[in-house]
Amino acid sequence: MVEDDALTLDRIRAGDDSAFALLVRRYEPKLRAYVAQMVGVEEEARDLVQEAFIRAWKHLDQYDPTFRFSTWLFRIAHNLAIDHIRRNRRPTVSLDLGVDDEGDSMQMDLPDPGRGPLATLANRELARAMAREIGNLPPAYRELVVLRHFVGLAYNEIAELKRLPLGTVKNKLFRAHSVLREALGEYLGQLGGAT
Amino acid sequence: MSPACSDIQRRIEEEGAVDPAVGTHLTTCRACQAHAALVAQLDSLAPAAADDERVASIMAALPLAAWQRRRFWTWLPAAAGFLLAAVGLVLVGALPAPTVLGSLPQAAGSLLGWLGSRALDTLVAARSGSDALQTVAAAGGLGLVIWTLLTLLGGGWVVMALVRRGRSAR
Repeated sequence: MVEDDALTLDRIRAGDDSAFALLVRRYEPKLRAYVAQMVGVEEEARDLVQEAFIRAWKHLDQYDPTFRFSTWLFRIAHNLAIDHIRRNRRPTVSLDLGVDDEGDSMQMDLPDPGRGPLATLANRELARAMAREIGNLPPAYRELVVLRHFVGLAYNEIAELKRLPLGTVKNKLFRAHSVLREALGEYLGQLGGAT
Repeated sequence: MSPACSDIQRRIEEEGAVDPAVGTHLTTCRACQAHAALVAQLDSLAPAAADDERVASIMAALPLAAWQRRRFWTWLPAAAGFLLAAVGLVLVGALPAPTVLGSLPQAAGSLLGWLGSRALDTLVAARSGSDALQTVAAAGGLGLVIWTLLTLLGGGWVVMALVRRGRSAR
């Protein structure tokens, strides 16, 4: 069973600084996937994630335990990524996801079937179709699909990160999945299901 | 698609594992089969675990945080050094009176000279005698030797502890 973040933080407060490695192990891949979706360059995402962990470490005493540690960490990474995008404004094919609660415009790259999570699918045709159909989703749905499946966040983590009621997250994801199921029926039929 | 399908699809999404009732439904409902297949494909896209090298490199990049430096036990090495030096002072007759403090610079010079000659005397005595400690004690310098050792050890400890804190803060 994965040790709870609160227990890990208690260990750090008690002087076991090496316990922070558990948090790094737990969240580095998710943060990297999240930031990579925002900045579009894997190497830059790695550097930004490292910076996010360093910033979290330096300000660990300012963490408010009424929120999830993962939410705090993702917000740090989000702000770093936004700053990075502002500093390195360049032509992008990213999709505008509107404005977040801090007034920052948010973008996430279109899923690319040739790289990132979709590149791991053995069925290349399904990967291409999935990228296309996820790209066709309304931005609010697309962002939740990315957070849930490409970043690997749980429903409650998404709810807290996006400051949405848990039920809203579940409903929107259910609708997004239903749209995808309808659109990808042909490919899913080959996997053992059809509409 | 029946209303039951909607409930089953939600359960597939939110609960992950398929219980026997859902499994039975899936054998006959192609829409729910497709939904389960889609969720399985999407779930397989979650990022893999971090590799050890990456974790180690991030851990190595962490600086000494301000909150770490405020931990009381980080002062323990320095405090132990001060304590050791204080014990040495107590052993030779407690801390000096304030009036004595003004004459400390001159006294320190005299003390160093005296310590040097004492050390030489002690070495000569130790070389000629069978028991160096007994010789020093007989010369009335055992307390002084203990004081010197403790003060040097404690002072050195304090300096090392402070230097190490300073280095790790950078």
